[in-house]
Amino acid sequence: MERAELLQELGKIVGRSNVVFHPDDLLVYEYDGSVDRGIPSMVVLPGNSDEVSRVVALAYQEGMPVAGRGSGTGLSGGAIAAPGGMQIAFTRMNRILEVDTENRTAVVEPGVINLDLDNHVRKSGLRYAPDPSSQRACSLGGNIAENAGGPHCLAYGTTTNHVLGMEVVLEDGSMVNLGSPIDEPVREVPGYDLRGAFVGSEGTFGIATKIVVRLLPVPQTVKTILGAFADINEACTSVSSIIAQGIMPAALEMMDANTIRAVQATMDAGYPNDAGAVLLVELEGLAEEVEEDGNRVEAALWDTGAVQVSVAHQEEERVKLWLGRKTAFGAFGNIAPNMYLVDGVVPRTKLTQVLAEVEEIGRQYGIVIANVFHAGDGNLHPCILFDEREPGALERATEASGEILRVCVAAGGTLSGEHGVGLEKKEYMPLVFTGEDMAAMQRVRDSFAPKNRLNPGKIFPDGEPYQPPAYRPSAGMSA
Amino acid sequence: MTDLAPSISEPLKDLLGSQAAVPDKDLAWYAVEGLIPEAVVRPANRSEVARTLGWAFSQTVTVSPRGGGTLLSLGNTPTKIDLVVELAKLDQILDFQPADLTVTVEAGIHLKNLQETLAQGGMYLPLEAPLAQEATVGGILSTSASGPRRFAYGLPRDWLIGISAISADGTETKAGGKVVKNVTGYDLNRLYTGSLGTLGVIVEASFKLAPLPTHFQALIAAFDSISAAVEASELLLNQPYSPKGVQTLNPTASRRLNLGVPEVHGAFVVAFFEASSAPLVERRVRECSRLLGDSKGADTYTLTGLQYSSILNQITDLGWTEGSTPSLAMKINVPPSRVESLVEKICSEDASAGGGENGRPGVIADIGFGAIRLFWWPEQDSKAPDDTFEYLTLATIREVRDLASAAGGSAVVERCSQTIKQQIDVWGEPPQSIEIMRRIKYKFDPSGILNPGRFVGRL
Repeated sequence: MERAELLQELGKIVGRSNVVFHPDDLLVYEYDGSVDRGIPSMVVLPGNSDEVSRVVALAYQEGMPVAGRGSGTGLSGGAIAAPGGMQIAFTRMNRILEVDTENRTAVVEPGVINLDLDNHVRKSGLRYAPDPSSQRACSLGGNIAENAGGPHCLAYGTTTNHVLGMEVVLEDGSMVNLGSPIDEPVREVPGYDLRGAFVGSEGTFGIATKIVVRLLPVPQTVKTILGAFADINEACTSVSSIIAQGIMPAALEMMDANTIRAVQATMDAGYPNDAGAVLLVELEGLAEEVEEDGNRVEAALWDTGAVQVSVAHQEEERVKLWLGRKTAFGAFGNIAPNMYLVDGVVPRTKLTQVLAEVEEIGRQYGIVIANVFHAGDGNLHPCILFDEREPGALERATEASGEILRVCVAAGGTLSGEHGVGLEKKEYMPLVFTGEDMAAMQRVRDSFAPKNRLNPGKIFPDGEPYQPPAYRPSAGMSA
Repeated sequence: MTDLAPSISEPLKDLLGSQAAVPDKDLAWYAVEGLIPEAVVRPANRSEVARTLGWAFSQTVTVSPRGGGTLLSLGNTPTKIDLVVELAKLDQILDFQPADLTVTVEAGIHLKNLQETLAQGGMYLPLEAPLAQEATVGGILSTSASGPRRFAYGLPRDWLIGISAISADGTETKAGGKVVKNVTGYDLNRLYTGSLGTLGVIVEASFKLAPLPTHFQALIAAFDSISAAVEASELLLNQPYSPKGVQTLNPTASRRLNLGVPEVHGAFVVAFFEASSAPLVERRVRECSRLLGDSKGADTYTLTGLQYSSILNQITDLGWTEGSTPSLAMKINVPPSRVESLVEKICSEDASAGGGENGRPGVIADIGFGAIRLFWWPEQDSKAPDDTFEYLTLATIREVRDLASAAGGSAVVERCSQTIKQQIDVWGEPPQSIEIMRRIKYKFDPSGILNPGRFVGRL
């Protein structure tokens, strides 16, 4: 089919205004939250499952690869279209279809924004636990593709622990239900856990068009405690001490000196400007249990050398303590215009050692690295700060990121804690998996998508070293 | 021993050494649903497991992996079992890092032994399975076993972070890793969990752990009727001091247990609590006890220590121990909101399921999770001829399936006689996604040598 005809056919399915094809308009869809870029051949915005099914069937007929796109906040190139590929954007499929308070579940379309879901169900005394840092913008569909995490995953688990079932469109446009039926939420179904394999499959197995998620009751009490330390090693020791006492906080977040300075330059988040590290501990549960754990946490913070301990007693205070953490990535704009967010994960006990190695890498490459991380589960986010207009800066940032990944793997960790492999890390997969390991994974993918038409070129290496796109000033904007 | 096919014991003894082969006289003990294997081997390590499977693949010899043999009755009758591979010798703890909250073990380790070691480091693995002193981690993963606290704990797949398995052709592959947050590569951990050994033989598993609570208590309350017990259970689950698990038992089920309370008759609610200090656990129990006492007028009893362990184990093991073997056991999974009405239908006077007074099942309902276990125990003095019983059993299975499906869920037959099993598919209707499952099975086991015919869709 000629392009014009294809666009027309797509227009008949979703409505002409929901087909994006003009180069100026397509530019909006060429990026995600990472440094990768790729212009899709066209972008289609369906309004319901049936439209998705028909669009995918048409793309299949035309031999066109398809990439799903939620909010484009992904950090590994997951939503970037393959060359000549179609992107299906779920902006219009943003309805919360049902909240079932008795079964504690909700049915959502993939374009629902994570925080919107949480806010909505809180009205019924329930919460949606997985809270990626991008939750104000990221979509449930994207969360599923990457098995998104977030600070509260320490106690509650990641997205896969909260998805009961999905309606999925396969590469040929056919639809299938995985896991629990959408309208009757059950926690266990006979057969292979295809639902579990699908979560985190980065859009390569199928496209979820309806999702039934598990909700938890809103905890009786939330207590947030902030400890500031002169030295990041003391903060790490504090984390160990808290966990060794058998306390499982709902969240345990750490920020280093570079991050603190960036944040304090943007707003007064209450962090000492010269602190070496700040540790945010959040406890949730019954009032008396939180009270008891809270006392032990405070004691642990002081015992391991905290110079300041702040306790939030009300919601406003709590929001203030978190504000620095939630706006940290944006605050980095004070230091440099670009940020390369690395997603490393190591056994928690190796954090101190790995942080030191990351600092050394920063020195070697002459770049500033600020660390924000989920201290409780060893998931670190070294943020490489640079200016892409500087010749070679992006290349150095990319190389440094690769070095950091190598360090994480050597310390017993792996390539990605929550962002996914995507384009960014696929060439590093041989660091953790053998050819046989990857062949087994590809067998599963081939069972879902025999022609590999969905998000091809992601996750598995082609043997080409990773090259981020060269700097190119955005069209129509002055440098 | 078959007289037509050449013996497989000899080549296996050559391959692994004779000490790895179980003597012929003991083979019957390893029967799977009445099928006695031609040989049983007990590899000493994963490399021997790999060599065994590689050989089996080359000879198209069918293989059934075995852990503790505790849940062997799950699944359909296998099409063929030539060789049983028992994993008992792979029982090492490879890496225990309490400070990281992770552990890596060989698949043949018994759950109870593992928990004892973890406890020394102040940790535990929130898994439950019948007969934990015999059940192996590999078996628990393959069957996705669970217990009375599944409401809070979830399923084995929720704790598994890394896995190594030997595939049908003898290749070892791994997925996941040793860290609690991991999205590197596809989540094959979840695919293997509950796959009943049909995709590969699990040899190693890594888990995330939780801090071991130090104080455990159970609360037992007696009621005149199962409906009252069900309502009380719902009350417990919907308030802040909720327990880790609530099991609701009808009289037929509770009569099979030694609850250690004065009432012998009636329906019971058994709730399990745990916390990191005595005052905290006592507070929870007190609140729940008051709730039950106030609103339902029920007598409540608190169990601690050995009594607590006893009741926990009894409920977990019911239907799986020699003394409690049912003639039929089914497990229903439905949305939690449907459990109440479903239990009512099953327990009602008019229920034909099982055929009248003597045939009504024992019921253990897990209302929070949405699971109902049903047991029909043979009456000691049953005068019904065998074929009547068979007819009634098939009718019962059909009826329970219809009820479960009308309630939006499914019903699996977990135990039944071999004659019954040959006439049904224990898993019920395969799901719509069976085609994808078939492809996966075919790609992982092209010759169909791993537990052929046992799984959903007779995969």
